[in-house]
Amino acid sequence: MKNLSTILATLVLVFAFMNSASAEDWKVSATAKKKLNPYELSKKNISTGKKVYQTNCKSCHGDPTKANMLPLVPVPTDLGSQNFLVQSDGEIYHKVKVGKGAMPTFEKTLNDESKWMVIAYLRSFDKNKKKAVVTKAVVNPEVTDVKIELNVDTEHKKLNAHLTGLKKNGKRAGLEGVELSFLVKRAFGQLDVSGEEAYTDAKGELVVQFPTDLPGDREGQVDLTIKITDEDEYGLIEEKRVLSIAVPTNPKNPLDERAMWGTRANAPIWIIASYVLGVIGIWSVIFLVLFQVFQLSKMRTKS
Amino acid sequence: MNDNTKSKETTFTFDKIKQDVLRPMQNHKGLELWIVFLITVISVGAWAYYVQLRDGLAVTGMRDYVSWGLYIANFVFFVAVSLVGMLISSILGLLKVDWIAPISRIAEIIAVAFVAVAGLVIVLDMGRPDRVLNVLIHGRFQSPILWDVTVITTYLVISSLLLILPMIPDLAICKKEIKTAPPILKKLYAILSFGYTNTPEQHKHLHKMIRTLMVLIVPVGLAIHTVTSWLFAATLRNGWDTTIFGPYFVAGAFVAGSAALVIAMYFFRVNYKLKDYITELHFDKMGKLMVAVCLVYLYFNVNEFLVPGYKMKSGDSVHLKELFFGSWAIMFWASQLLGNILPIMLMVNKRFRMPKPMMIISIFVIASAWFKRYVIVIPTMLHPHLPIQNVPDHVKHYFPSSVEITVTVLSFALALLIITVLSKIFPVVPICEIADQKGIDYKIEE
Amino acid sequence: MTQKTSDKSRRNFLKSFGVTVGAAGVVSSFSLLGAAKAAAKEPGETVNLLTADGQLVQVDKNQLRPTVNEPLDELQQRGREGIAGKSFVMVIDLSKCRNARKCMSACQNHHQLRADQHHINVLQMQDSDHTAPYFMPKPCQHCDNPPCTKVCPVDATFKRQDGIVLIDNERCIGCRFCIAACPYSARIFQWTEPKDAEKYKDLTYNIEANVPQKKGTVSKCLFSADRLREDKLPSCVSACPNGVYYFGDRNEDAVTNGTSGETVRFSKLIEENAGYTLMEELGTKPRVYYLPPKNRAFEFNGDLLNEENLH
Repeated sequence: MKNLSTILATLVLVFAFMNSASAEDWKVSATAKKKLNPYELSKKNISTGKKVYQTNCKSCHGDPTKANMLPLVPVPTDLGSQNFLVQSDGEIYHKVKVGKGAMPTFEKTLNDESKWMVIAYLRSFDKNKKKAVVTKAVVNPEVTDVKIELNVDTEHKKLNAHLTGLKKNGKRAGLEGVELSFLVKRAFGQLDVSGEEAYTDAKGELVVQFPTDLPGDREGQVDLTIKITDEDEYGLIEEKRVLSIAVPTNPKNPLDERAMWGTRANAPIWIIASYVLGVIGIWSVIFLVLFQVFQLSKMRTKS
Repeated sequence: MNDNTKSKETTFTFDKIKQDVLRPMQNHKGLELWIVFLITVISVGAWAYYVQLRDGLAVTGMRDYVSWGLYIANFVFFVAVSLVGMLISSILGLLKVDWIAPISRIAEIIAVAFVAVAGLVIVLDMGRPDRVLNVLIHGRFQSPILWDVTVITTYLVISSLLLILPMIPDLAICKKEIKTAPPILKKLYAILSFGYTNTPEQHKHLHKMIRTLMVLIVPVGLAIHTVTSWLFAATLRNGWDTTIFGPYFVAGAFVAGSAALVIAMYFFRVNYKLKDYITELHFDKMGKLMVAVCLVYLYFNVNEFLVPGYKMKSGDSVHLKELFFGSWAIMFWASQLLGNILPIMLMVNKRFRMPKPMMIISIFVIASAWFKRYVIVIPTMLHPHLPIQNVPDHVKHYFPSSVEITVTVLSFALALLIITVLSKIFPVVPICEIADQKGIDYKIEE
Repeated sequence: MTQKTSDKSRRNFLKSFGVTVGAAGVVSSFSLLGAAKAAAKEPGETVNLLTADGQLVQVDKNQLRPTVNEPLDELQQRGREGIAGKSFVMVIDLSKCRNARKCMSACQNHHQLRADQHHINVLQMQDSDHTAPYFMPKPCQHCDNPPCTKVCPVDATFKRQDGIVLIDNERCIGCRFCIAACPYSARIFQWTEPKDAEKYKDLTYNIEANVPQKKGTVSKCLFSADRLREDKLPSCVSACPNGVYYFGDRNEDAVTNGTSGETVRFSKLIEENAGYTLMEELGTKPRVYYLPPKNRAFEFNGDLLNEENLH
């Protein structure tokens, strides 16, 4: 009896699952499976993929290996788990492209490069592929006291960041190839103005053009935060600054002008005038007539 | 057009006129029963309203999409009928049309009763009637509702004055002549006659005041129904977002009001035995007047429906298809045919401008007028710009609930009660004015 | 607010639904709003409370948070003033909506609404016979030329300086003129006692949340004005799992996505995606912008072409 109900329950779940699936099958063809990631498993690609992942995938799947995905039905896979990564790159690519049910199709919303970058990022969690991570020719020395120095070119609105660390020999060295994020504080989040290729050069320097048309407060001030994008390597390293190079704004208060949709105090003058004068005009005649009516009785004695 | 000083069939003396008009006021046969009946209906209606107050407007058929229903349609109807006062006593009065003399007071009684109840009907529709004073305290000049409240109050006051002022000579008579009146009525007559003794000076003075009010009420009366139409025309909904709603409503008001007047005329002619005053001539004239106003209303209807029907703009098209061919077709075409087109065709024929046929035609006209307003209010609410979705099925349809219908019947009972009372305590036919018209001399003593 | 914190609090907001309803049920002086903002602590520490009707209950400590301490006058005044210097706008990406309706339920929970009462409604739209159907979330558009505030006879609904149109249910007389005037069918009416009226009875009226709801008055989307005052995104924006909603301050030219937390330039988002407003020819000047459903993330799965649904 128990077995029967278990089977029935499973069948129901399967049917429900199938119903919630889209028309496309989650099955991946052999050709699709064989597709290889055309991009190398470099730190840079992994970092790019991480950004794409956090914008597009993290909201449902959570962080890879952290098992903090949304409690949806069906539950989104932990994309950092070995169960998932046992699939080939091509298989993952196909599923991302095609989607199913609650999983969106990213065929049109993400270009191919972005999709492969995400796969590179996910692959970096694969325990069997750790050694495949391509390391760059240049490796940064071991450093402590990593910090970011900022110089602002007010005239050209350029932000010059210098990322350095203290080497063992006591000398400061620039860190190369590290991605920095330039974030401007907005009402509900941080606006990234760094652009596409925000990596430090050989000297650890990076120049970012601050958008010339970005609004600031009344004085044109904004709160800028520069940080190392990927906190994994050096931890949270950031530099905050109040900049005055944004466009000063004078927010227009929609209540400043009189309007038909406004409050009574903000009504257009002509409406107030028409109403008041109309009421006064008509009612003064009424009261005049009423007054006259009471005069009638005074006229009776003159009969 | 003036009457002869001596009519051919009956000789009119002042005493005869007085007797004929004052007699029905003192005849209370059947009155008590009628008033008890009305008060019973009103009590049931009041209880229904209590239920509405207690449980909220959910006891009506209205929901989030059809948020204006029977009450608002009824409100428009009441405002429409009340315009008859302005039409008859003021517009025709200013044009010095003589035949309206015997019926102008009836018109004013209807006007006063219907506009007073209209004001009440709108309060009965409010979700928070306990906050009605907010309209005065926080009223926005830009809101058509504030304008509506203002003009309704103003029209009520002016109509009441136009009822009382021309009645002053008659009330002076009532004071003396109605011996069987209870003391409170006698006091009322005394106060409201303002010591009128028909001196030439008083006569002139009084008529100047009346004339002033007649001029004043024309813009106010036009305003009242135009502003009521703006409750709809000021919105962006398909079916309401048109430019001619003002004149369209005013023309419709004249039709509905005239029909109401004819029905009242017939009732008083028969029940009060006033055949010598509300004569066949009056029905003939009212018939011609009704043809005129019905034609004007027909003209506006053609413009209102043919033009959008020609274009079939999206939004309009769904609404119009429902009106012409769909679920509203019966009500729409019935109100047009039975309420407008057929009456015109009949009333151009002299045979149908006799009292009884006129009354029957008027019943159809006024019933159709009521349904026409229903057709103006509800179908538009059922076809908003964006689809109605994710709500229970019954929200996509509307039918008035029993509470709604009961409260609506209450409003009619109240109007009828006011008319009953007014037509019993006041002479429905102006005694002195008729005497004036027939060239009969009379004296009013103190 | 960093991305991590927003994700966490949003996740807990959704998680705490089940517990919150129960907790709010017994405690009368703390609202559902506050309870839903539970911090990411482990449940365990409880507190004994005496409810208004004399019951002694044990409530999880992190379910409690009084949402309004201010007196009514202050709430009303700041509600009418709005948040200075801001100009709130919402962007809805139609290519991402798959009718999950998490926005609708989050909103209904926030504002004491029944399941059939909508401040935001996700509609199935099909603009004409041969165009493709799509899902369209429709909140109040908070128009810059609002047809609703124009007609209100008592100033109960009004537009404030930050662009948000609110309703003062201490003043509303229930004439429903504003409902008739709104071409977007954005407003609803409390035809009878609101949901859970008893539980919310003793709460001070917060005009920025329109809670407690009142029988016989009008209600609508408020862009979660009470949450905006705390620099939080509106409920619907935060609740969406598919990245449909962006919300922000037009004065700053930035909107933040409720799902990913990503902030982008508002002007760029509109330009790159051909953003538009609903029924723009009516001249209402809405503040809700739509990005057309191009490059859809999900296939349309509504019961389309059902004539009844489209009118």
